[in-house]
Amino acid sequence: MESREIFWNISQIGWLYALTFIAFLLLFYGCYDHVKFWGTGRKTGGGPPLRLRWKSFLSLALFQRGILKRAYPGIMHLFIFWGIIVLFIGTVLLAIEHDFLKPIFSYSFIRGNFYKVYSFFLDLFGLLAVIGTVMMLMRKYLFPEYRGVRGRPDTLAVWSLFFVLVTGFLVESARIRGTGAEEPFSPIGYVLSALLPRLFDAESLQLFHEVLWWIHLVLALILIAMIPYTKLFHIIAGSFLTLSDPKVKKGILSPVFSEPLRLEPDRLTRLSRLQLLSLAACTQCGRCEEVCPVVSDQSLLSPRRVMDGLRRELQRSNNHLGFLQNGAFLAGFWECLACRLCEEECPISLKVAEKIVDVRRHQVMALSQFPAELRSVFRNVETFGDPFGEGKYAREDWIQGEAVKRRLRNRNGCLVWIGCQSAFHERNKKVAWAFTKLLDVLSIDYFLLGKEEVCCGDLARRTGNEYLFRDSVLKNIDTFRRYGVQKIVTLCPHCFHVMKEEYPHWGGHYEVLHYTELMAEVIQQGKVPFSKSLDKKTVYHDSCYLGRYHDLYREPRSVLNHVLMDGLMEMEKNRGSSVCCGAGGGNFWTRGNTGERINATRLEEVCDKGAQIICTSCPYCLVMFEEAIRNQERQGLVAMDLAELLDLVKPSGTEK
Amino acid sequence: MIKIIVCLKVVNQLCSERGFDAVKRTIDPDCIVKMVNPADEYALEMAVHLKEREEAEVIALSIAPEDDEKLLRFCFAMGADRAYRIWEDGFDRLNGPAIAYLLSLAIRRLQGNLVLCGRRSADANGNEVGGYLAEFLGFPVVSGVTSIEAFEGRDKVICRRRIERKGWDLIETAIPAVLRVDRGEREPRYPNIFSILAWSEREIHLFNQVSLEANSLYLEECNSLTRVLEWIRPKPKKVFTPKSNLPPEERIKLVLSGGMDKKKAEFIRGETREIVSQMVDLLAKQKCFKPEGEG
Repeated sequence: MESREIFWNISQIGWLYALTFIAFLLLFYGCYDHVKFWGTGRKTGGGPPLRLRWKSFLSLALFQRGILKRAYPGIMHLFIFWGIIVLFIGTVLLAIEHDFLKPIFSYSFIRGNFYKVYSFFLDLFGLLAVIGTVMMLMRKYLFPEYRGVRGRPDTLAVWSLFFVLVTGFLVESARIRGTGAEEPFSPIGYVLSALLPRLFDAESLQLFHEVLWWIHLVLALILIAMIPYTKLFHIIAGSFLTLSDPKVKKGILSPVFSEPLRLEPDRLTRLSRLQLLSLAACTQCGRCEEVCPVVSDQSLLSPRRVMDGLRRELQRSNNHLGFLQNGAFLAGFWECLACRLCEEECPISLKVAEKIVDVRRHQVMALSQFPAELRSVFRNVETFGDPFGEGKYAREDWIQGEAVKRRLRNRNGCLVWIGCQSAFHERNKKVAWAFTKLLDVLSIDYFLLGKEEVCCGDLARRTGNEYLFRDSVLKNIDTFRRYGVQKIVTLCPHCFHVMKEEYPHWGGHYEVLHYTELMAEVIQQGKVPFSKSLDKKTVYHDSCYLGRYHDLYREPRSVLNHVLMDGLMEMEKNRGSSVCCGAGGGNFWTRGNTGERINATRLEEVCDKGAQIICTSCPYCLVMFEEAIRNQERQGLVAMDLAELLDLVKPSGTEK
Repeated sequence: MIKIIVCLKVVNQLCSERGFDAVKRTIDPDCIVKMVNPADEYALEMAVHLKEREEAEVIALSIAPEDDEKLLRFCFAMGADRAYRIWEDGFDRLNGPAIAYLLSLAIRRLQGNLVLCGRRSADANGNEVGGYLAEFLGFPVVSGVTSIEAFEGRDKVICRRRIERKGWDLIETAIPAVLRVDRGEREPRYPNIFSILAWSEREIHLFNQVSLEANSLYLEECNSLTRVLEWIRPKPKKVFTPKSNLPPEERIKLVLSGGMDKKKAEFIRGETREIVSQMVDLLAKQKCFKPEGEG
């Protein structure tokens, strides 16, 4: 019966056990350190229950769905991952048989046909792992822009992995040569054995085999011992993370206060255990950095460095955000647009933006340190109820006709939430006006709150001022209660997101629609056939809050395709990979250089397409694009809101 | 230990001219925004900043109804140690001298030795409480203080005060004293959440006319010293906003010129010699001087 002689040609087996013991000791000691650090994290109480997520474990960890989003690194990692898994399982089976079943029960199962299959699979997956490793080495040395393998420990790990695999095959082939066995079911070893130089006499072959065997062993053990001390730890942390991340909808921030208003002592200063785990799971692969619109020579932010820096600083300070001292690093946190592109891009969906907001919260609420521009914005929301500081009275200024004025607070139909941008910003007032006209044409019953509106709070929440956010939420919920609001249609995706997903925590449960959803619904019902008459080349810019936060890609497109004669053009970066306009995450108000740079790049993309209209459905995006168009003095290009576009093509004659 | 008393006022600011009816003498409550007087916030910031350097206690004092407590608490969270509120029905009709009289009674009771208050209130703009207060207390008064530079022992304070656009005074005054604070170099801090939460529960002690032992006749007399005869508000000035579709350069130009096309700026470009001759022409055209040879 076919089998393999274990430890052929190897004496002093005692060393094997001693070295293995030391390697695992180091492994466990390192893991213990990680667990200790993890234990300093906040327990997340109150949030959604922590259930094991086998599905995400299967898809993200075992089938590597996230990494496979990109072909080359995806296949590379998949090969290495499965190669190592199978080789590891093979080795464990061998150890079980040799050290446990055989001496105690005199039973062995790795023989006969099972041995053939076993040996074949080990060879096959070993080959895959070699291919993957070679791909990784090629990337490192041939494509310097690839930054996944950084620094000495990483390089050491890759090279050891490579040599472990190569020496493994060489040892196998030498054994096959030495024992003279016919093993075609170990194809690689078999072929290699034939290729071994004929010069080897029996003695030098044995020496060759023995030396390589020990090298193979030591390198493999070094790799195992390295796991907790290098980014190899992502093997463990990543698996646990995909298993234990509670199923929260995308982009929802966890509340800071428990109600009635109370603050857990360590809520602001410490990250939660889950967050620490995700810091440990980050491999610094740099995909987030590649896609992040903010990252450039002038910017201080990089999602990758956020993860890396947080892990280092928090390990140093035992998980206390107050010890974050690095000025430039901290300043980077204020450049984040909260667009969640990094989170979508991350192979294991690490929540970067969430951590950035947690750091902002600590900065704002515990230390009162934030960009000076935000101070007046916070003050304006506190005293006037809007970030512009215009006051309640000006909230109804955009209304021009008596017909709409009658809609104020008359409690008929659904509530149309105008939002601060559309109520105060000159450009966006036109959108509000166009949309209300449209509703009149469609004879949809609606009412407005006018001066009863208060800032929805998104701005305060994303900039870390949770106290102010809570204040706004409670005021608005109280207003909604007084007016018996059940259904809300918002003009701004930001209001839409917080009202739909973040108000329920304070007991505000409403049916919230963004107006593009409403319009898509209307068109689907075929109530009003908008004429398909717009013959302008149009691109649609997906706003972060409709797109990545809520996956509303279909609705605006169906509306646009309904009115555009030539159909909608798509930008290079559309849907989930759409780039933020540069105003998100409070950047509209802090007005760094970042925003201007980002909308300029985005606009160039539009112009490359030769579009005449850039259509958005977010007031922030609209303003940013208008500014970019003005700054670049683009002729024949206009930024328009979807509502304005519809207003252009609405059936004539029905206007009241 | 020095006891710093900061007097704060909750001001009612009109955020829109439209709610104001000069004929009926009414104001639509919706267009009133309540806030703590900005100058008083600077005073509180100054006191809290002083507390960080010297051994001091900061006591906040305000004449305000119970409704305004929430606003005041947020402000006290900047770093006040104790807070007192003076209220009695009818106190909303007090004028400067009467307010100063009440405050002086409370300050005597609290044995404060450094009184800080905003120089002027954002709504009434009376500029009077600080002065009257010093008179009632018999303290010296320094107006327009922008920062407290140093403490000289326990009985003197040196403060910086703005005199002109660029000028400063350093003034030494004996304490107890009243300092009328102007917008200083230090922006009022944004209170941190621990302080906000602590102040949301802390007690604000209440004084009323009886507990202050205020003489109601004297109060009445103070209140009748001055009287508002008429409110005259200018017609709302049309604020020029340039059209948003213009390029930024043009908009800046328009804003600077107040939207008047006539005030067009002229750019002179070229060699030095040309520039000079063009400038001479231009100035002559504007009749700034008579060119040689003509007169």
